[in-house]
Amino acid sequence: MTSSAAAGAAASPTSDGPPALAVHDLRKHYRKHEAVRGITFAVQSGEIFGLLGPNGAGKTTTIEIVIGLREATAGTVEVFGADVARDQRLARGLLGIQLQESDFFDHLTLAEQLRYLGACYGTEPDAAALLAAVDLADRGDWRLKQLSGGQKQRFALAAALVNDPRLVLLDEPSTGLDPGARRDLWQLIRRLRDSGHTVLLTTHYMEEAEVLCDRVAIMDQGLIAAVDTPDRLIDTLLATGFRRPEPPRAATLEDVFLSLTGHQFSEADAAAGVVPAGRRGRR
Amino acid sequence: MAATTATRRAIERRANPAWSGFVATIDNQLKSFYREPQALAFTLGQPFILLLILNAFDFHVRGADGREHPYIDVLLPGMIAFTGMTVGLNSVAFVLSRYKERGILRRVRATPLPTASFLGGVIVSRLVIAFLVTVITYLAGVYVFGADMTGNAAGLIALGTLGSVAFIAIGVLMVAFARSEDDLPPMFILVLMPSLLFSGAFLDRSGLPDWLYWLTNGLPLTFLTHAVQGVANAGAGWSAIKGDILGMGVWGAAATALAAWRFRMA
Repeated sequence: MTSSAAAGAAASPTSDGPPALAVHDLRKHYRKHEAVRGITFAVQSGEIFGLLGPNGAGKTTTIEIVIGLREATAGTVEVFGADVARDQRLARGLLGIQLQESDFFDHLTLAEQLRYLGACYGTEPDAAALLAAVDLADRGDWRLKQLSGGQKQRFALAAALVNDPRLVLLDEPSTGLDPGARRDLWQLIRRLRDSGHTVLLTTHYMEEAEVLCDRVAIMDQGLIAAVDTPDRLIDTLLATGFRRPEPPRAATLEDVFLSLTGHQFSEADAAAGVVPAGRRGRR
Repeated sequence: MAATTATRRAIERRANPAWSGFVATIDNQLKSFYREPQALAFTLGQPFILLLILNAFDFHVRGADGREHPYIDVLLPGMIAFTGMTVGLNSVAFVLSRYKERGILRRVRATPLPTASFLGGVIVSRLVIAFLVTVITYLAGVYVFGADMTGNAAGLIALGTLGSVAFIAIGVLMVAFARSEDDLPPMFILVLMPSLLFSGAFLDRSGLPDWLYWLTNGLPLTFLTHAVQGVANAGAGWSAIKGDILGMGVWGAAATALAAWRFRMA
């Protein structure tokens, strides 16, 4: 049920070569349940693309097929032209992943974890540079249990980059984070795109999708209901005559929270490593 | 497509993850062993403590050579076989189950590292541990508790180490069938109890009723204990223990085949 108007509405920054991800008529059936019922969409190189939908919409199943954890019942998935089922090594080499509810080893330091994961891809990542890229410089000899929730998610992002991927897949990266830590993460994800990566993320937070994603696909009951830029999707809804019951106030409770706790992203503090996460300078 | 061709070449030029990941997994798992003080103390200390306790029984038993020996002479090879079993079962099953529950296996599975390389790395790291524990048990038995070993020390240590292979395979099999880590202790006891009582590692099997003797002849630890005691107490050679090795091989192969069929990383 791909919206034909939306499917073509690619806000693609670069369009030479195959799309970063091309999903064609993808289906996944379990015994009596159809989790994904024939979806088609493409993620263009260089964009942040959001896969949205309620629980049980089929997002995680789609993601798991893309990264090769599940086999599709029918349809194809290509990462930069490499079929994930037939050309697994190439496809996995191109993909960086951060999985929901997936932990790391307790007994290894952060730098060791990154080097271990790198070895699983046949690469030797520069752990210090990766940690610096997610504002965890000088934390190379820390253990995972010493990190706050936000730092853990940033570390997971670094772990998604060990194989120098071109498409980075983030499954609910900001779930469980406080608003400040979530904004830190958004900034990092934007930085990722600005450095030439394509990002596919899933999220439950519509605000996150609205401010972060260049385009989104909205999934429901195993189908794609719409694909477009957040702005155009909102315009389309407004054109139907939809109005929010109460116009929003000029500030939200989240703004109050951020103003009182000062959890705003400050690169200088983080890079210097002098201010612990969660106590960064107010902007 | 040009970009893809260049990227394909770059990725194909990378080290083969099947090998680099295998080596890194051994290193990773050895770190997990020596960086966890409780696990280290338990694994290395358990045979020593058991020897200390059991050596307090001052009696003589008949060894594999048919002569009377102080208990420690027969106990030490039994202990070497028993630690081979516990290191094999314990260290692999619990760690894999924990990794599975915490999504670590899922994360590793999503990389190009083949499952066999990952499991291979975990298994080799456990063989290194089994080797260390066997050496420590042997040295403690001979030099602290005064056991008199007739057979070849290197052969004995090799047997203790390699004997754990069949149990490692059984450990992986347990994880393959366990729904969660909670399922493991009862499975563990199911293997441990008959092995402890009827394999001959600690108690003389000759007193068993015929049916039980026959039934427990095929226990993996019975094979291993018989081989280790044969080498230790009677200086048995290859021809005397090849049946035991075959028995353990059958257990190991069957468990590996079943585990390969059933085991899932995610």
